[in-house]
Amino acid sequence: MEEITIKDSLKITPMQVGGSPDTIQLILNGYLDTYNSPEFQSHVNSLINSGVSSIIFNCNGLNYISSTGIGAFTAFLKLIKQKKGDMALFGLQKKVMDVFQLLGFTKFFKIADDFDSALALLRGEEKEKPAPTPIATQSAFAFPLVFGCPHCGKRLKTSKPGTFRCSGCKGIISVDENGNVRSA
Amino acid sequence: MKSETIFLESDFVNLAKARDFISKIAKSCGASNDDITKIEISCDEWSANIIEHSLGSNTDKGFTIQCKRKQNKFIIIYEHEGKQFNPIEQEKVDLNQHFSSLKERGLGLYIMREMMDEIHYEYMDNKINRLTLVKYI
Repeated sequence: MEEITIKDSLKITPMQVGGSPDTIQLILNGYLDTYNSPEFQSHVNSLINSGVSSIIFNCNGLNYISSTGIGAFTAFLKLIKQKKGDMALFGLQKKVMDVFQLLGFTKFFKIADDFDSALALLRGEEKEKPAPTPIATQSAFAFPLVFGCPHCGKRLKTSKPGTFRCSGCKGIISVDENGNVRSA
Repeated sequence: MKSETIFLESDFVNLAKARDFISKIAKSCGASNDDITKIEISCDEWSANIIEHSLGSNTDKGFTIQCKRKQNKFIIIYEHEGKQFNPIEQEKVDLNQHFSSLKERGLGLYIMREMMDEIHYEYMDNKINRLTLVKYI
C-alpha cells in the first residue's frame, strides 16, 4: 500500500495498524467533493475488496467534505459490513463534523476524538460516544410552535424547526430554532 | 452594496474555486464562520448540481456566481443557460427513508434548504436559469 494523491486535491496515506494486514489507518489530507469522490471511492473500495476488513480514517487533515464525500463513506460502510468488517473515523474538523451532523450520519458512523478511541471502537473495547443531536434538529426554543402562515394566515403547528409547505396555500415557510417564522 | 461576480467553466475541478470565491466574499461582508460554512456547503451543492445535471462536465459552457451584501442579507446569484431545473419544485427528502437505505446520493438540495434562509428560482427569457440563495447575517 502506497501513498497516493487524487487529482492534486486529496492525499491518502495508508498505515498498517498493530502489524495486522487487515487493519489499516488511512490519513486523509485535502478536501473531498464531487470532483474527487469517485476516485477516492474507487481506491478505498479496492482496498476493502483486497482483504482489508478494518479501516480507521484519520480526518485531521480533511478540511472540507460535500454530501458526495459523505456518500463515499456510506458506500464504504455498506461494503465493509458486507464483508463482516468495520470502520471508524477520528479527528473531524468542525466544518466536516457539521455536515455529518446536519445529515444525521453521526448515528451510522463510529466517530472518535483520537486514534486510540477509534481503534477501541473497532475492537468493541469502548462504548460508543452518544451521537450529538443533528444541527437540523437542535433547538433552544420549546417546540411545538403554533403560528400563522406568513403567506395566507392559516393557523399552523410544527414540532420542530425547518422548512415546510403551508397546508393551505402551499407557500414555503421557514421556522428557525428560536421559533422565528419567515416566508421562504 | 459590494458585489463581485465570477465566471466558471462547467468542470468539477472548479468546485473548489467557487467555494473559495464565495467564502472570501462572505467573510469580507461580515458573515460568521458558522454562516460561511453553511453558505460554502450550500453553494458547493448547487455548483455541482449545475455541472452534473444542467451543463455537463468538460464543456465550453459555464455559469456565473454573483455575491453581494444587502442590509443583513448575503446574497448569491447563480446564472447559466443550461438545462432547466427548479430545485424548489423537487420533493423534500425523507431523511428516515434515506438513512434506512443508506443511499449515497441525493442530499444536496436538502442541505441547501436546511442551511440557507431563502431560495428563489427563475427561468428567464426561456433560456437563463437563475438561482438566488440568501443567508441572513
